Amino acid sequence: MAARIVVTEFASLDGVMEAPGGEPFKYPGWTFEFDRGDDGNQFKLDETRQSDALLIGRRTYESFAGAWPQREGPFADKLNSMPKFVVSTTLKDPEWNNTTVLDSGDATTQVRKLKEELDGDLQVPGSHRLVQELIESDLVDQINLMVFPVILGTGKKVFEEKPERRTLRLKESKVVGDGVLVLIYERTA
Amino acid sequence: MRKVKSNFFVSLDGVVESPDKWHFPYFNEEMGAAVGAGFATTDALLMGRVLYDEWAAYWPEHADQPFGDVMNSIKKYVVSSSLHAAEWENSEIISGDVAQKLTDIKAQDGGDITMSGSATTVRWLLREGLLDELNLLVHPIVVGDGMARLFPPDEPSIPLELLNAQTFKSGVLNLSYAAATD
Repeated sequence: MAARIVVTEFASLDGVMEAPGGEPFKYPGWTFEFDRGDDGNQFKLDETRQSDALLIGRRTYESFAGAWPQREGPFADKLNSMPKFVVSTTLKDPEWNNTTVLDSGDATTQVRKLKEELDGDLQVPGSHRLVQELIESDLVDQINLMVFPVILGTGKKVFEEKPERRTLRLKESKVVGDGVLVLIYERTA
Repeated sequence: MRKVKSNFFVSLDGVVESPDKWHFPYFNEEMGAAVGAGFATTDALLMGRVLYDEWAAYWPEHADQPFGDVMNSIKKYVVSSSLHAAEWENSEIISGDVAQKLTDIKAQDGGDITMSGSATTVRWLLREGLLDELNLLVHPIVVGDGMARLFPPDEPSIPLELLNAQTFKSGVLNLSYAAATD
């Protein structure tokens, strides 16, 4: 039994996933302008509760480690306690609880090994560069998207212009809050 | 008041180029019904110059193909500052103050003015508040290949409103957006 890689992103209709939570960007905190409703919040909580570990890049680590350790509640408690794996060659002595750095410089090999060693769901939020590599290496098993009704027009995208074509299976789709889509795509066999 | 509606087949990664290379496996009855419903209320087409050139070169020679008669006879509006004569049957060039001219056309009696493609013109209409519906059939495929996308980088931000969302058995999403009004 190997772990599954579950990428989860906030995205605009044009696929921009950069800085949804107030990090420096042309439109800082852009997702906060939309009402994702109680069911949208519940989806994000359930998604994290169902995850067994986090797998993130260094920038997402910095953003999360700067915010979540000071917070409380079911979402923060889960994030703070769960195992976290950070792909980085520069991060030393991470202070956030239960964090392991994968520092070989070869993300694909390390993540492949991690998938084999672990069970359950490895959640990958944000982590633009890492996600691009995981998509290219075909290591992603599921992609959860929360799509907000806006064209941002600039910023890093969930899917950059990858050379390889992949079909996906839409497992679930629903509208939450004020015109926000929750989409769950799985790999096709 | 006539509505301007834009319809696209689009992949999950936003590609709209060459749907003939990725769309067909997803065509089913539900999609056929959605596409047919869109055209039932249409009595004119609106397009940019690139699509006009493509279609004006194709359809007059292919009147015997499915939709050939309709494509040739239906009223066509072409947004272009460089095109001086539109020789394709029932075509009219819109240039100069395009926004005002389209506003006037929308105020006329008639059915919907439909667009299939012309992404550059669609984005401009959205920004100008002239597009009433952006209808996207989002296919569950990452096309990649560096193919052209509906929303290229370095464009202005446009807030939207989700008008309708439907999921087909094929996993295609039928989404309808308009520019946010407030």
